[in-house]
Amino acid sequence: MGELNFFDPNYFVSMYEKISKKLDKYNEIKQYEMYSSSGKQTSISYEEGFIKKAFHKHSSGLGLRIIGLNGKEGMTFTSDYSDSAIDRIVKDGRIMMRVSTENPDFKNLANPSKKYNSVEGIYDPEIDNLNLEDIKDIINPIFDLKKKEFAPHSLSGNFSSSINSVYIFNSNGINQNEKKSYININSEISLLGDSGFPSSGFSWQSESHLNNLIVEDVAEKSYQMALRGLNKISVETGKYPILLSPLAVAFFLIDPISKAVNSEAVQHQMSFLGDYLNKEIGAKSFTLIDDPYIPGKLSTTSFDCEGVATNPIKIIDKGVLNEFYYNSFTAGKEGIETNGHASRSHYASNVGISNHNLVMSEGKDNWEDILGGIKKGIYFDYTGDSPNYVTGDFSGLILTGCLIENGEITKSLSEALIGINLLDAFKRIETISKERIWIDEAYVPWVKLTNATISGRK
Amino acid sequence: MEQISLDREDLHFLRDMAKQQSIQYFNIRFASGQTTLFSLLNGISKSSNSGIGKGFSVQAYTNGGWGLAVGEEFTKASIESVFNKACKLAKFSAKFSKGNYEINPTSNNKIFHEIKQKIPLQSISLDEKMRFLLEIEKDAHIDSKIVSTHINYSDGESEKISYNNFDHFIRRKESGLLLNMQVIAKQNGKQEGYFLNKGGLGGYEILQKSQNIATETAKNALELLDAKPAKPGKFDIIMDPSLSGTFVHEAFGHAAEADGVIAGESILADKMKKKIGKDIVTIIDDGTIEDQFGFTPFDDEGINGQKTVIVKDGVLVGFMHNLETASKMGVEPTGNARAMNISSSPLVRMTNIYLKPGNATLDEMIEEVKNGLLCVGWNYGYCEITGQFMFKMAKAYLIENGEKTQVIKDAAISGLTLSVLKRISMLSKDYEMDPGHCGKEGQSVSVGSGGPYTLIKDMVIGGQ
Repeated sequence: MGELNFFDPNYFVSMYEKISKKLDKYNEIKQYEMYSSSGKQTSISYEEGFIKKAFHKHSSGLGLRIIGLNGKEGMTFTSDYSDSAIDRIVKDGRIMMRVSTENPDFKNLANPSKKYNSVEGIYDPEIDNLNLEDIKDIINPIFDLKKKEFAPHSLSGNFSSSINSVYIFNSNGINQNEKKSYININSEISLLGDSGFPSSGFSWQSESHLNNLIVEDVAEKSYQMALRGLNKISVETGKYPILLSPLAVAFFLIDPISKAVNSEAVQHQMSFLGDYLNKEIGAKSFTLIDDPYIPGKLSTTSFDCEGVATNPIKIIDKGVLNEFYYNSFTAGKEGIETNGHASRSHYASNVGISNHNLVMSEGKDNWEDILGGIKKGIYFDYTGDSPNYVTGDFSGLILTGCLIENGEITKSLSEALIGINLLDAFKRIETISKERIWIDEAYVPWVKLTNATISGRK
Repeated sequence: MEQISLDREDLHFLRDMAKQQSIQYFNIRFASGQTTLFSLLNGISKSSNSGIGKGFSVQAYTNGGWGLAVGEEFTKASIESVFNKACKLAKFSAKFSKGNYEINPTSNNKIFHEIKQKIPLQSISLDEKMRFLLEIEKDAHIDSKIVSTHINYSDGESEKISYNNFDHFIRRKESGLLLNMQVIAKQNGKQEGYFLNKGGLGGYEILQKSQNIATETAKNALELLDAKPAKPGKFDIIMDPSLSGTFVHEAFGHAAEADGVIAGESILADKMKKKIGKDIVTIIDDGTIEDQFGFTPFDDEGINGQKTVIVKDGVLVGFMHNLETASKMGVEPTGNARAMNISSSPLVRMTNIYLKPGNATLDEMIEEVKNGLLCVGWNYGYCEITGQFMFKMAKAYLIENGEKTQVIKDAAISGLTLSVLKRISMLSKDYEMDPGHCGKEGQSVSVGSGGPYTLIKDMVIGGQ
């Protein structure tokens, strides 16, 4: 297949028709779905403050789900569109279907939705047309960090731009395709303090539109983070009021919720939120909306990865857990309609469940006023950790965080861990800032928790 | 799986193309493979998936700049086209690179290597594989409190070819499998889960070592129903072999990868030949251990896998290298250039890394601890470039006055690598390796890591 066909919807219509003809010959096959994706990606990586590597690739592939009697399901995938490869995946799909167990919970593949909302700003031709010299100009502000008075000890990162298209068809009549653009830049920097001990900083930004990328901010944020960490201190173990930055809110509060409201995890008792539907799980000020329609955001889409129309839903409404995410299988198991949250990370991957854009409620206070009201506490900026999704227990490192003293952020923390059950964290939401910022696909404020346990070396 | 019919002679023309375009170094890597995956939730298929794939990539280097381009068809026209793209990308990078350096030549051998399968994966029918998984699912139900199970099985075979401008041609055949299981137990509204992972390189015989995965996972999930959250603070800890492996991999191993050292992103950059740990600390990366998940007979630049001593008796003596870092530092490459797939550049990666065992018994080590934790199993871990690390243990036992007592859940350990290496006070003679996957710059590769039981003084533990 030539690269020119990668983004031609008609090519995939023909491919689906060809595969359909082959599958329709077999009585044991009751339903089927074809999910294809094509992408092109250009990336440039930099190291020691200079460009080191440039990379370019086109890729395309398709995954085939075949449903037989009593919910037996086989799946195959290929990146080869030759006739022999297509024959092979049809054959292998039937074999995998035969080998699988019966699944009485399977009801139906997704049906076409009555209405698909058109969404805006998910494809930027400027990103599609970027060349290497353009990218060099875009990333220059990262290299300007070398001119800082406190020169970086190391400076590295990566810029990536990509165009991705998906084509979804099934035997119930689904026929959807979408083309999206994506850019990402990150900056990782280290500084050496007087003691010779390094301090690191990082920042990134991901966007669907080139105009929204502010590389100067990414560079400066990584530098400031490293600068703050030059003189780290240990804290005493104890309970402290916690002010979560938007970054921490996105990764410590919101991301775990988006994974715990996965109906598959709930149905198999693998989610700490499974028993809390329609129950109060957090402060009344806490509302979380999943919104796939916000123009130009990373998870904006008019349909999910089974081709079902998306809709905004309230996950948490004034502290009450309102809804779980479904795909066609988990919804069928409960005898309800899917709410359009089927996901696939790749044409070869299984159908899963995930979120779209997430918007957390705003508060009334300026975040700096919230900070000003904390006499002694912890400013929690980022953790690389995840909770135990079965229990909600969280015990992890504050990778970047500071001590708050008399209403001001002061010294950076070293070897400080935070421990709390997330159900307790939701209830300890005391104040939410009126300012919110986008962290990838989440629009999040600063949040003050009454307290959490901090372990430290002191 | 499509066999790759190309031979060394078929690729000689690339050396002429490289000369014409002033390319100082290139490698081309081809791969063709197939994979089978089964996922079961509560003994019912969630997915039964098989796939085929093939492709190739060209990595080119000139004047300090690198380029990587990817193709699919194994035809001369396609190879030429992708080669030219890689050259163009390398020349672009060179314009803005830090400066030129030479890539030292590799020996121009032609080598074939195949990972042996005692029981070939293809000799076992898919029905038999599914029957095995359904059997182990049943084995997990040792108690009515077991409410949910999740099994993932994957196996795969691939053929890979790599060729470079030094006329070094290697054909490899690889195979392996992974089995992991999660079990959820519930009692009086409290639910706990446990996860275990088994696997290796080879054939279906690997599963024979995994027969007890279900009962082992279920027993651990049940035990956690009685667990208490960890208390926060400072404790002496004993890490079990899998956690010792995580420590040596995450907290130390990444810092000993020479690309990070050159980039100024390693705490070990100025520590060569210096004492960085107690005398009992010896750390080795060994790509030649055949039955471990990081077995790398030849790396993705065609260099043979090696046993590389990194720390000997507490002194830093070596780093792990690929061709680029070895050339820059004037040493021999160590066979640590590894790529996730042909779309990725080979980076400096660990293979099988371990902390060398000591002489103590676990009982002797427990007796040494007045107030501490015996930490068992790992969930995940990471380390930032300053050497600050965090590992999440699967469970722990309180040690009070030399006695193992209460089971503890959801505890995290944090420390600073160079400080912790000096606080390792005892190592057991028992030693184990675990299979796992390691992420770096978006690439995941299979690795082995392990060590003995390790007693470390004065660690910070996160708890509630």
